[in-house]
Amino acid sequence: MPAHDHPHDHSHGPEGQEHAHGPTLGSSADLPEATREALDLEIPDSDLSPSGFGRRSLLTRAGLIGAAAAGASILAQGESAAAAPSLAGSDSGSGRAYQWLAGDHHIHTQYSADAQYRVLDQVLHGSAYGLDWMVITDHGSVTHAKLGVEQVNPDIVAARKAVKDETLVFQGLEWNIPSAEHGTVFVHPGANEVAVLKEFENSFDGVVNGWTASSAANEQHALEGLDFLAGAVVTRRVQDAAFLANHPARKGLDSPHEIRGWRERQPRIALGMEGAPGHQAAGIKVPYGVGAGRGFYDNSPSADSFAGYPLESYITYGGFDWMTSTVGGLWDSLLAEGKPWWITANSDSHTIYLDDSVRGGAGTIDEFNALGHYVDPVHGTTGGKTTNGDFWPGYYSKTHVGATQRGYAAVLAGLRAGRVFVDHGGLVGGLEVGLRARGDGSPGSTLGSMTTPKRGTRLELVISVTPATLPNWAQFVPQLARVDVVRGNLTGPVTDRDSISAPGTKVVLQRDVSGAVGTVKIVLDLGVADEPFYMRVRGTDGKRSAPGLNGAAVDPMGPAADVLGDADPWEDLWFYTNPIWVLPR
Amino acid sequence: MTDVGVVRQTAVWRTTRDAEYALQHVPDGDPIQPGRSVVVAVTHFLPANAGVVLTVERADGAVDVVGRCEPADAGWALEHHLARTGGRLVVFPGSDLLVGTMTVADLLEVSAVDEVVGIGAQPVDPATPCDTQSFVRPTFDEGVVRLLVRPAAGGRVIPFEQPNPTPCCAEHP
Repeated sequence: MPAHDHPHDHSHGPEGQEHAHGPTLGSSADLPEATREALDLEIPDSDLSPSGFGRRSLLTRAGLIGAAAAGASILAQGESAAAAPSLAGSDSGSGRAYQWLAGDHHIHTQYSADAQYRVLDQVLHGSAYGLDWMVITDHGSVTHAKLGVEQVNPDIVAARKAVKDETLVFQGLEWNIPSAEHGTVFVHPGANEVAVLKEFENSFDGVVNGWTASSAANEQHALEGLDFLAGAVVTRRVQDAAFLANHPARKGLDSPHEIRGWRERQPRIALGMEGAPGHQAAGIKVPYGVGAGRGFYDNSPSADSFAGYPLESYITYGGFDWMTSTVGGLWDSLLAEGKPWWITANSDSHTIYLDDSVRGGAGTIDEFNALGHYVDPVHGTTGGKTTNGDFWPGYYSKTHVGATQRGYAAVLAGLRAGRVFVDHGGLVGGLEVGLRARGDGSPGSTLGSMTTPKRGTRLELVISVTPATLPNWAQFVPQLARVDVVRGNLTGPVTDRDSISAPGTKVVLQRDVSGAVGTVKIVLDLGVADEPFYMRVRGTDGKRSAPGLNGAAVDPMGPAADVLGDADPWEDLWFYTNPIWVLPR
Repeated sequence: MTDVGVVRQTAVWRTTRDAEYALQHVPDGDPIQPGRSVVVAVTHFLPANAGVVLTVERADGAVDVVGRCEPADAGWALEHHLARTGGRLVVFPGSDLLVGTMTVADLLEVSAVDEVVGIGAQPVDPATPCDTQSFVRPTFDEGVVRLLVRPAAGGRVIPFEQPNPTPCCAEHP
């Protein structure tokens, strides 16, 4: 029996009260008054103001009332919903009010049995390659739970000092999610960061507790793990904590109902998933590289896989995970529900493509298990290894988070609000996306937010994208060729919790921006606000495209299936943004 | 009347690899030993993540369900086999001839594979070379034997399922 006694009660689930007391949790205090009263189901319809009643009718019709009350809908996102008044001209939703901090939440060190670098190696490289924040995420394991989770902390503290806090370094771990895949779990630095992570790992890691197999019982353990993290924040053991699902479609282990379940159980903790996995060098062809699947996505179903996933879900498209790359696919099905579920892009750095270092000491698993880590790496004697499939943090994949200031709390707040876009190979020099009333001079509502214009208001989406002006780490200036805009209907919660499609979602604009110099401004007239909907943006260097898996009518030029054994990641670059929802009032 | 075979092993298989290993190591003289009377062998993922079973069809038309499972699941697997609506083929007519690189046309000619399709249900030019890796695992799908292929190096296609996928938390050497 794992240690389960943590100091909070167990009234969890959608009706649970505990997360309602979190320091920054989904309070609806910043919502417009009409929405606030509409959401307060304690108030009977007869006592609502006329505008409140109108709003409740609309929300009910859209199927959003229940989800909002559970805190699992954008309507309960206090922070992002605070952007809503921007349609009236306020700056609160302005993308320009944020600094975009590049980060990576998936990085391994010598405290993982399949990796080798010091924390400092990863942090110095990530810092040099332009990362503002990083999360150290060694694998959950018996050895890590016993030794590594504590041992890594002084290394992280020292690395923070070594880079003079110019790159923020979070301590986290890679959770073996019970019944599912891996996920990043990390906390705000503080006196209890190790204690909380250690207790979490010992109590809820799937490998440590023998809960990896897919089963209803193990799915419950995953939810209890999220409850624990929420409790650690509520009780102020740590200032903040977050969870993101890693390489979600790689082996078909993260079923759609599990993803929905995580988000709904603890919307303040369960924030999203890797839109693009790491290991992006793994598809480089032999003899120059590993010659495997990009992202090491080359698996097939097992008995633990979700049976409803097609074989096509097991590979990457333009370097992105099938859940994200498929227009009208699983990610869109969540967004169409109004479920905030954000995407990121990370390195999953274990062993670096063309690096020649090797583990010090004996380098054996026995030594690792005895010490809790591998001995520091040493210069190798065989030359750069083409058999490594990863890039250094920041070298290729970046998760850009809109933060109100530079700091740990602000990065977490930005991630939670979904003010996030991701890119590969330095494709984007700068990006601002706003949704506003047509002709309104304001920056508009930004990524991750929900805006509530008056019904009948004419709306527009404004995209200001600055192509890269500097060479990337492959020594060329990437050329942005096309920007695509995706639009979908906001249809409310699904009845089938394993739904993986959003039939109404499609690409509504493809804009050729090749050869553009300086910032390109794209203004898309969205028509008059009527039914609820959402928008998201994607762009590419245009070097590899194919009709999307849902057909050319949905996505005429989507990312192409990555070629097994011949996927040069630098010749197929994409960026993706998180969505903006529109809920006319 | 089709026979439903005896459950022949006690551990629940979690992977197709486990099931195939068991199939390859049945004792001499066992009627389901491949290369003798077996004409079709198919793996099935049972409902509710319950495990993997094999359906093994002999030349006389009898089909055994092999692997530990509930009787209802055995019947479920058998139905999919007979109707060709589900399952992943390990042994099928011509499967032993699918070695090395051959054109898609030749693959269709020499084996029981009815269709080769690309990612996104895209048609594949029959002249396209297919690197079989001597590991071809098509599926029963809507009554036909369908092989999904993905693009591979050198303008070839390759059967979707890989013989040696990257294990979880692998040493990426």
